[in-house]
Amino acid sequence: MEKKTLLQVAGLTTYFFAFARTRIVKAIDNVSFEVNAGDRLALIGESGCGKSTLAASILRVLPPSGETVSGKILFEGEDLLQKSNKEMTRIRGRKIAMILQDPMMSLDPVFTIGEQIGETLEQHTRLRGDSLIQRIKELLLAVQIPEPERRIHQWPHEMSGGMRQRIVGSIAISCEPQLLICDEATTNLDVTIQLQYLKLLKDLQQNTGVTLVFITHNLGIVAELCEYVIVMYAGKIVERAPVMDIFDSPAHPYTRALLDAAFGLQDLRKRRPIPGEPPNLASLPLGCSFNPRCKYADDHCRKEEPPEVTLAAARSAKCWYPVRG
Amino acid sequence: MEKKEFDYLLRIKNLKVHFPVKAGIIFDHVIGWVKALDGVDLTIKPSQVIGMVGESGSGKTTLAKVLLLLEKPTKGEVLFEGKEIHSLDDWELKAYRRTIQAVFQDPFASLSPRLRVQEIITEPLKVSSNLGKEELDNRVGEALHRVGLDTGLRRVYPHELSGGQRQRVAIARAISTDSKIIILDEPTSALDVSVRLQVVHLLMDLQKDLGLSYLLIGHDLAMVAYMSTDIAVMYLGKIVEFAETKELLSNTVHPYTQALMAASLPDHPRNKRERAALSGEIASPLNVPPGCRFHPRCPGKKNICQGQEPSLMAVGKNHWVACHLNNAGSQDC
Repeated sequence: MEKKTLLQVAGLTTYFFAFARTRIVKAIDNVSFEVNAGDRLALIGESGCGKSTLAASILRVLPPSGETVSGKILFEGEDLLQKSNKEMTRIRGRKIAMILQDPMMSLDPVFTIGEQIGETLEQHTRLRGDSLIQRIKELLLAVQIPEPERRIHQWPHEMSGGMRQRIVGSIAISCEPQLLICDEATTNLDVTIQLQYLKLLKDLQQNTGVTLVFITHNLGIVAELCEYVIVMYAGKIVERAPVMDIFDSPAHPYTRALLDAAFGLQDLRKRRPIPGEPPNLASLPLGCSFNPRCKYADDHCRKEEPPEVTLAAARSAKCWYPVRG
Repeated sequence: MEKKEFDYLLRIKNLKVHFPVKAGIIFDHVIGWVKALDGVDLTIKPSQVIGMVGESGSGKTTLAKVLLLLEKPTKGEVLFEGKEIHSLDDWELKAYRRTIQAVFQDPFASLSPRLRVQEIITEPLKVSSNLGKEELDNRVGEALHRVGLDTGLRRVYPHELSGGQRQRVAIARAISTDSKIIILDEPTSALDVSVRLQVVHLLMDLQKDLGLSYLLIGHDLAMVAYMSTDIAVMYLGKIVEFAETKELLSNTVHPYTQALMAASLPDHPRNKRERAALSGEIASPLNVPPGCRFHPRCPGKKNICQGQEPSLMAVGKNHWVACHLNNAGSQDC
């Protein structure tokens, strides 16, 4: 069956300007990818590689110093970068929703849980009064919060971290969005609560068919939940592949290094760290951005930026010497 | 001076820390107790790396604070060379503070932004000893060298360093006093994936080279298992299982430890397995459930679990478990 493309990002480039535009931080540099409806995509990489900026560019919620300088973001065939602010307000929350890392920051401490879930619904739907309350209760049950009648009048500080993150989840799905972006959504949760939350997201995805984009640095989450993986390094996509291929035969040295550096309970053998530190995005090394940390790098890598090489269907790597599986 | 040898560095006996909860503005009165630690026994031996895992609210950090003399225990004692650490005289206190050091989670918060690296590293030395300037300089150079930093960095301020470098400075500070025990409270959770392993390996190398003991607090069981010789699993202020790392992973007895292991994520999509997520959340330490404190979430609970609190019992060599379900019949390991 042919899948429908939900989101198509083409040549997206987002820069941050500092010191009166004398310094340019290339947060995202010519990034293109597609997400099919109903997919579970993982976007992995270290902090500062541009994952969160990518999400902010798609939703057009960049901080004032950031600017998307070129590219296209086609959502259901329409370019989000051409939309007016008013049109974007109607898309955010209703068609594209987002769950952020820290539920204490994304919930407002001076409004009750019911008011905060209701706000999104009032903004985007015609539900009012009793039917609104009814819908809020349904949503709380959908994220497995018991006793919604009582919870609806409670404040964020009365809840535990896991519960708050569920509330954020219920707000995100309240208008049945087509695309749900989870930016490190479980990083602050305890492991047992994290597993509960991942299961919840998977169930939601299967019940509603929402498309999930999971931004994370935790390879365990990728293995547990996702079907496709995009690896980012220094603002560029360095590898994309189905999840099995990423774990079985990573083509880019950076992906390989990430896998070698991850801890696993199944295997306590000595791990290999990645030497060096992520590069400064304002002064990237010449050639391939990964070359100073790459053990396979040669003069070619230090002089010229590698192209993205297609290795198989839905597989590519941005490297001069990709490992062919 | 006569010195008695002890086979342990620190011995913690039935340690309890209860915080009062008060109500009322003028005439405040205690309305309840938060039982952060509720009877912990633990012995730290030379060159031992004890990993401590458990969810937030299980009392891991409170234990670290007691050992660092930042929190007074309500009950119980911590013995250092045979003496209770809260009744040491000034001289002994200085020796104790030199012996025990800490590295915290966030190197952005644990290093003073107004001090240079040199001053940060020498501060504990200045407080706990009276070394001359030259000796202090040598110590800084040596400590920086040991953690793999360029000695030229002694003149810079923390904001000029990256996260990984800062954590190395924090480690240099901890080893500069010739300490024997270092408390590592989530030492790598604020670091990037690629830098994290570098710091973990640095800590493991230092432990081997200097014969240090660590009390490693973490919530990532895989990382803790990678570094530790022994693991203590905490739940609501108590240790519920203690064993050597290999033994704990291969012969897990307590249902909570089993749940923690099941909840850790797979390292390959092929190792993905169907498992039941542990239901519910950790109870509030204000309201500890009667009987076994884990029973409301335990999948195999029996009647006895609700009425009687289990105590730590040996189920194998150096393997202790506090669980009614395993008191009988599991002696054969």
